[in-house]
This record gives sequence, C-alpha cells and structure tokens, in this order.
Amino acid sequence: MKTKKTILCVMAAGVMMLPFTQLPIQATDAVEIKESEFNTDYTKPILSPGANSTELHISWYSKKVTNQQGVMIAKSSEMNGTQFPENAKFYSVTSNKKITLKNGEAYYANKAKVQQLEENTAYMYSYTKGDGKMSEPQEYRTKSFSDYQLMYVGDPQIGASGNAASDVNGWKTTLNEGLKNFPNISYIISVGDQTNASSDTTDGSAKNNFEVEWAGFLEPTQLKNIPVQTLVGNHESKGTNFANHTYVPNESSVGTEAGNDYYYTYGSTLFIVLNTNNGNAADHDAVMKQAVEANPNAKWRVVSFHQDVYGSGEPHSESDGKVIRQWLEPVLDKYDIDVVLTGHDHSYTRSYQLKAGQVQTTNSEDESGRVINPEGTVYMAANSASGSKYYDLMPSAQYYVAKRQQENHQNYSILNIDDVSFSIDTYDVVTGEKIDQNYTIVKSATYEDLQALIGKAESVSATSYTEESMKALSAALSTAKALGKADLNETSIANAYADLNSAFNGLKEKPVTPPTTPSTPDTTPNQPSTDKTPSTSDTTTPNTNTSTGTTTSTTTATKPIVNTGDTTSARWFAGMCAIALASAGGLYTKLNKNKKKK
Amino acid sequence: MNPFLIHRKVVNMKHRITYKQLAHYGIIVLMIACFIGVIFAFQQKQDYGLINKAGVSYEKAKVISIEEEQLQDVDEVGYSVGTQRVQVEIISGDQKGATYTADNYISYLGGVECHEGQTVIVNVSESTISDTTIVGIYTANRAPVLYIFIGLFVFVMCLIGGKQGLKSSVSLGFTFLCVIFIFIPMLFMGYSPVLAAIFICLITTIFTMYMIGGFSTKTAASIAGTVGGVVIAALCAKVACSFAGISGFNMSSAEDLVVIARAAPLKVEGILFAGILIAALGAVMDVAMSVASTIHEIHDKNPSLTRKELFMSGIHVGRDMMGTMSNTLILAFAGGSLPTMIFIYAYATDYHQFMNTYSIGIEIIQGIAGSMGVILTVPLTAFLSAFLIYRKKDSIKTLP
Repeated sequence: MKTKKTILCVMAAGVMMLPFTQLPIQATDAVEIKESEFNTDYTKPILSPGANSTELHISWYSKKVTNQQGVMIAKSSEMNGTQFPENAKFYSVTSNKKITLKNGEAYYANKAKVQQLEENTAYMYSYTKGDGKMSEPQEYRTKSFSDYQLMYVGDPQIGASGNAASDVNGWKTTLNEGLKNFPNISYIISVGDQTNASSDTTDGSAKNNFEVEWAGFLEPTQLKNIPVQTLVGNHESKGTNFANHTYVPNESSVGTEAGNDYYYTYGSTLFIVLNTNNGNAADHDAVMKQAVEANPNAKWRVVSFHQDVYGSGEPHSESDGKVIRQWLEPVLDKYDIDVVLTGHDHSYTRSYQLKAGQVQTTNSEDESGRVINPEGTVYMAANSASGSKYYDLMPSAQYYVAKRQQENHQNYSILNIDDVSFSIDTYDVVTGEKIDQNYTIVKSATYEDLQALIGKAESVSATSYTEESMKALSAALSTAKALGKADLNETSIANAYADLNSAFNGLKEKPVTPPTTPSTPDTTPNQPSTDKTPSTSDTTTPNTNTSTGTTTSTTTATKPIVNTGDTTSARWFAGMCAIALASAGGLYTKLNKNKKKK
Repeated sequence: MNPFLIHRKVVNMKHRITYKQLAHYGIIVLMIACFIGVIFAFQQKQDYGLINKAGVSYEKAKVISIEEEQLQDVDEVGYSVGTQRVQVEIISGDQKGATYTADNYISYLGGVECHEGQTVIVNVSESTISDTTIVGIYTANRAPVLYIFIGLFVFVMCLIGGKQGLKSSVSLGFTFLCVIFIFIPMLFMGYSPVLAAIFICLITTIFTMYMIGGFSTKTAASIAGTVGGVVIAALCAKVACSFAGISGFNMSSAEDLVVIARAAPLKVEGILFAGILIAALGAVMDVAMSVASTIHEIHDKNPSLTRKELFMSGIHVGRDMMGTMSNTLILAFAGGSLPTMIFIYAYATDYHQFMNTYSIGIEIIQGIAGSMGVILTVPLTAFLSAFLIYRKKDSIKTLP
C-alpha cells in the first residue's frame, strides 16, 4: 500500500510540476541583439526624398537641442575644405520632438527640409548635433531629374535573423554591390520592414528597445549620401520609432501610429507611398486622389506599400496579401497606376499586367520582356535586401505570376525611368546575375523622343565606357537610325527606343574611373546568405522543389530569433516522463503479481 | 413521444427529487455563475494597434441591381471570373438603408458572383479625411447556413440522445465559449499557453463530466483521467519536439504570432503545445469517460470484483478503444494536412526532404502525442476508477 501511495505521489508531483517547467521558456523569449558588432549610435541621419526632385528631407536624433537646430548646405564647388562658404544655406528644423527611451535617455527627433536643389550638382551638408557643434560635412549629389535610376529593395528587416549584426552586414553588402554597379542611383526605395520590430519607445522592458535596429538600418555609410524612401511595414506598424526617425513629404493622416500615407514626385514620376496596415480603402483613395490631382502631368504613377498583394511567397501571398488585394486593388485600378512596388514575402515575384485581377493579354510582353502602352498594372514583390530572412515560394505559381524566384540571396532591383520608358532589372547580390529578364513598359514613344535619345546616345564619349557596353550601344544606335519611314509605327519606335535606352543605361564605366559616390565600400566578412541551398525559380511551371524546399535556410534564419531555453526544460520533461513511465510500469507489474498470487 | 427517451424516463421515475439532486442543480448553477464571472474577468481591450481599421466595417447588403458586368466562364474552376458593378443596399449597421455602387472583382478563389436580390457581405470604408465611402463586395452571406447547420446538429443530438443529448450540446457550447472567451484572452494576458490550456481542459472537463455523470466517483475518476491524459499528450509532444529540434517558433504561422507578441504579452513558444492539448482533449475525454463508466457499470452489476479485476476490465475495454481513438486523432491531423500531402505526392518530393520539414514533423508529433495521451489515459483512468471505488468501499466499511 505504501509503495503505491509513494508512486502516486510521485506521479501527482510530476503532473503538478508541469506548469513550472514552462518558466524558463517564458523568461527567454527576448530578442538577443549583439550590439557590439556595429555602431549602435542612435543619432545617425537619414536622407529622404522631398516633395519633388528639388527638395530633400533630412532627419536625425540628437541628445540635446539648441534653438538653432537645422541643416547647413552648400555646393561642393563653393566649399573651402570642410568650411562652408558665406552663401551656404541654413534650413531650420520643422520639428524636433522630444523622445524618452525606456531607459530614461532623452533624444530629440530633428526634421529639416532642404529646398531649391539643382539637377546634377554636388552639395555638402552638415546638421546641428544639438551640443553647439555641427556634424562632419557629407556629400549629397543630385542626379538627373529627367532620366534617372532608382534602386528598389525589400525588407532589410534588421534583427529578423536574431543577429542584427549579420543582418546589417547583409544590408551593407547589398548597398555596396548595388551602388558599385550603379553609381548613378538617385535614391533608394525601401518598401517597409526596415527593422524587425517597433514599439512605443517609452515602453518598459529591455526587449522593446528597437532603436538598435534603426541604428543597424542606417549603418551603411552610403545612406549619409543617398536618400532612401521608407514606408511602414507590418513589423513597424505599432509604436513610433518609424515616425520619429523618418520625415516624409505631403504626409496625410491615413496610417497607423508609426506613420502615414504620403506622396512626392521625382522628375515626371508621381510616387504614392501607402501604409497598408491601415485597412480603410476610402482613406487611401482620398490620399491617392489628392496626389493624382496635385500632379496631373505626371508621366508615371508608382505606388509602393509593404504587403505583396500579388506575390508568391508562402506565408503571405495567399493570406493577408490577398485580403488587402481585395479592398485595395479597385482603388489602384481607379487611379490607373503603372507600377506597384511591394515586399513582405521575402521572395521575388513579378506579375503580368493586371487589371481587376485579370491578366491583360492585349499587350502581352514579347520575348524581350517589353510591353507597349499596356493596360493594367505590374505588381512587383521584392526579396530581402539583407538576407535576414527568406521565405519559400508557394508550391505552385499563381495565375498572375510572370516570374518568381527564391535563390536565398539578397536582391536589389534597378529602375530606369524617363518620360517614355520605365524599366526594371533585378539582380542577385551574391552572383551579380540578373534573376529576371529586363521588364520595360514603354509609354507612347514618339519619333521626336527617339530622335532625342539618338542625339543623347551619339554624344557619349566612347573612351570612358567598357568596350562591350559601347558595342551594345552602337548596335542599338545603328538599328534606331536605320529605322526607315516605311517602318515607322508605334511599336517599331517604342522598340527602338527601349533597345537604345537599355543599351544606354547599360553603359559600364571603365574600371579605372573612380565611382562617383565618395563612400568607401564596407568590408563584410559575415555575409549571412551564401549558403548552398538550391534556388527555386519558375516562370510558368511550378518547380518541384518549392513545396518543402529550402527549409534549411529558413532554419538558420529563424531559429536564432529566440533563445528558447529548450534544452533545460526538455531535460525536466524527459526526467519526469521517465519517472511517470517507470512508476506506471512498476504499478502494472505489481498489480499483475498480486493477481497471480491470488 | 420520442422513443429514445422512454427508457431513460423509466429509469428516472425510480428517483424522487432528493437533496442530492437539488445539490446537483445547485452546483451546475454555481458553476455557470463562476464561468460567467471568469469570462468577465478575462475580457479586455481587443485593439493592439497593429492595424488601423478606423472607418472600416463589414456589413450585410442586398444586391439591388447589376449595373455592369464582364464575366467569363473558366472551366477549370467551375465558375465565372471577371468584374461586376453592382448597386447594393446596406441592411445592417450604422449605414442601414444607404445604397452604394460597389466594385466586385471575381477572380480565382476570391469574390462571389452577385445576383439581384442576393444578400452579400460588403466591406464599407468610410473615409476619415474626406466624405467618400467605398463599398466593395467581400463575399456571400453564408453565416445563416452555418447557423442552420449548427441548429440541425443540436436537434439531431437531442433527438438521438434525449436528455443526455441536450446535456452534451450544453457542454459542447460551454467548451466552445471557454476556448473563445477564456483561453484566447488568457493568451493575450501573458499566461503561459500550456498553463492556460490545462486550465481550460480542467474546467471544461469538470463541467462536461459533471453534466454527464453527476456527482460521483465515476465523474471524479474521468476528470482526473482526462486531465492526466492531456498533460501526458503535452509531455510527449514536448519531449519529441525537443529531440527533433522543433519549437513553437517553427509553426507556419509563428512569424505572424511573433509580430502580435510585440504588441501583446503573447507567449508564442507554448502555443504549439497548447494546441496539441486542446486537440487531444476531446478524444481523451471520450476514452476517460468510457473507461470510468464501464468500470462503474461492472462494479454496480458485480460488487464482488476486486480492485485489480476492475482495473483489468478497464484496461480490456480501453484496449479496444485505443485503436479507434488513435485513428480519430491521426486522421484529424492527416485531414488537416491533406493539401501538404497532395503537394508532396504531386511534386514527388524527396523522402529525406519531406520527412524532415517542420510542417510534417509537427503534424506527426501532434498526431502521435495526442494518441499517446489517449492510450495512457486508459490505464490512468482505470487505475483511478478502481482506486476510488475501493476507497469508497473502505470508507463505507468503516462507518458504523
């Protein structure tokens, strides 16, 4: 009898202990960020596009403020070393809200607007650090306002892998590669989830200090010289970190506490930026209406927001992305948007031209990936720009997918925009290769447009570019010039224009020429994503690898997010399980023995 | 007269209303009161600031007319795709009576083709910054069908089960309310999901078993057996997962849960195991009650049987149940992962690849752990039943 009671007690104790074994798990679900491996200074500046090409927004944190906070800017040619000339302009901050971090530290979120910038001009700027000193002067070089190149990237999401330092390294690599190959980029478009998390910075616990992730996002030195258009991703929707760090033009009141819809123009393109964590279609409609009415002459309308409404990643494209598509797509169609730039699914997808959910076949792309005066909108979904996390593709491609790709490497896309054409090229950072063919939308190219481009191409000095790229240009040039009167029609002009423009944009400077950006590329030893997981890609047919493939990389990416503390609790459980089993077994044999005795 | 009720009625006629029965109803009332109290105690704010839905609502609307449509039949999906512009009248909410023109995009798997007079669900977005309102067709109004189906289920249960059937439907409703109004809020208040799940198992088991078995050793044994069984299921899952290197963060939805966990004190890790507990609860409860019930029935018919004999008959009955009950659980999980299995088959996925993916691992561990809970519930309940009956006998003997 006594033994049975003891056994029962042991079993009961085991059962009662169960809840307590949960404790180590609860205690360790904080994000571990190795702060030491990059500069976690929260006061790094961020340059953002202003309301139009001639404006630039600069925002930065400072520990103190004077009543003379602002930005000093002058043409580089007028600088005397690091001394600003007398005619340097000073733009006072438009706001400098005080922020108190969880540890009681106070910062001021300074925001300043620089105006009257000229095309193709080098400037030097410096901002007040709040302690009476100015920051070290940095260069900002404006590019062409009529024929420009942008870089488009998806979810850097610093901190998502659990190791912010390796995410920062991946992000730096992407910018280094992109800016090395395309030094004429006017600015970068980041489509949300710059950081992994966000919260009210006044919130108590240590795990809620996401300023470190912003410091990581702003760590690449190029971001001191090149603006970046940011927007609120789902990871940043709560809390005010985003709103504090960024300064966006024409800001509406439609969004979440992190930030709102806004719009700006660059050259002849209208960029509308949405915070789709706000689900009010009528509010987004109102912002888009205002943006479109304020810019009736914009040649292109580009909308960027975070969630991929036409992506092909496994976690989102058939769930939240689809829900947003249902209410947002009619609004996008209403304003005749040309290009939609999204991220969120950490995989690459380019859709067909879509309108009302239907693939537009009237102007289907030809082999060269070119559409002329197309109906509908092309939806892009960008892969991760830092390699902090990759998602599998859906097992089979949705009907709207023209191309999708998951090679588990960082990507960046280059947009070449002028009044006639809008082209997109996407590159694998690790291999340097294009992961998709060039996709170009040509809009009403006239013979005059073509002539102007021929003139521009002819004036290129052959000596400064590589032989190969010059060869391509002269080939396209001769084809364009050979276009006889008999062949002149919309399609032939558009094709000749697009070919020539593509060759022109593809001009590679000879290696001896130093890059135009002054920034020195950072070395990145811990490139996080060069693993040998198979790449998954398809154009129209589903790839057999995709249903369950590439989980290894997901492991390395998501596992370290949380230190689960599993091993200790598992030992507890294993121990108790053994005790319970042993006692049950003992009991059973004892009962059997008793039975036999009888 | 319901023929199924007669037997029970006759049995019941033997009893008069006693203090014991009064106490029985008293306890039920008390439990319901406690339950309502608990529900209120656990209610809290629902907006975590993750998304902003100001001005957005989903309402019922009647299709007045189709203004425009461009539809084309697609053979492979069996219905039309395309667009419609339809005039709708809102028939619920603040905007009741208002009419709007709504865009209706019907694509593969999304949207619904509207017909005049049909009731649909619309997404109403009232702008907070201008006076525009956008109405879009969300989907068909299918809630009534679901309610009718549920009603039919309760009716059939009562028809076949009589009073027990009614009791069962009440306890089913109770379980459902517990999960929605206590379990989920508890998760958002930062309780350990596993603890919360055990708490829910405990109260639903107590309620269900008490409703079915009344205040008896049978009830006590089956409650203890059930709770033991689900805890065993969770333990098995936990151990298997830790050896397989699977944590709650490998669930397919963990990513989104982590985002929510930033806004609310949600413990993502334990949700996988809490899910296993809840999923196993039904089958475990079934087995526990059957074993306890059998042992008591045998004891009532033949009080001379010893405790060991009672235990062994419990085991024997349980052995027969194990097979079918384990099947129930495994098939439930297999049914849930049917699309995954189809993909594996269709793409001839490599054995080493699919066998080692997280989703397959989680499905297998869930199914097996639940079944382990079912199997081990048998000896546990048999032992407890026999033990409690024996104790009762002891105490009766010692009375003067």
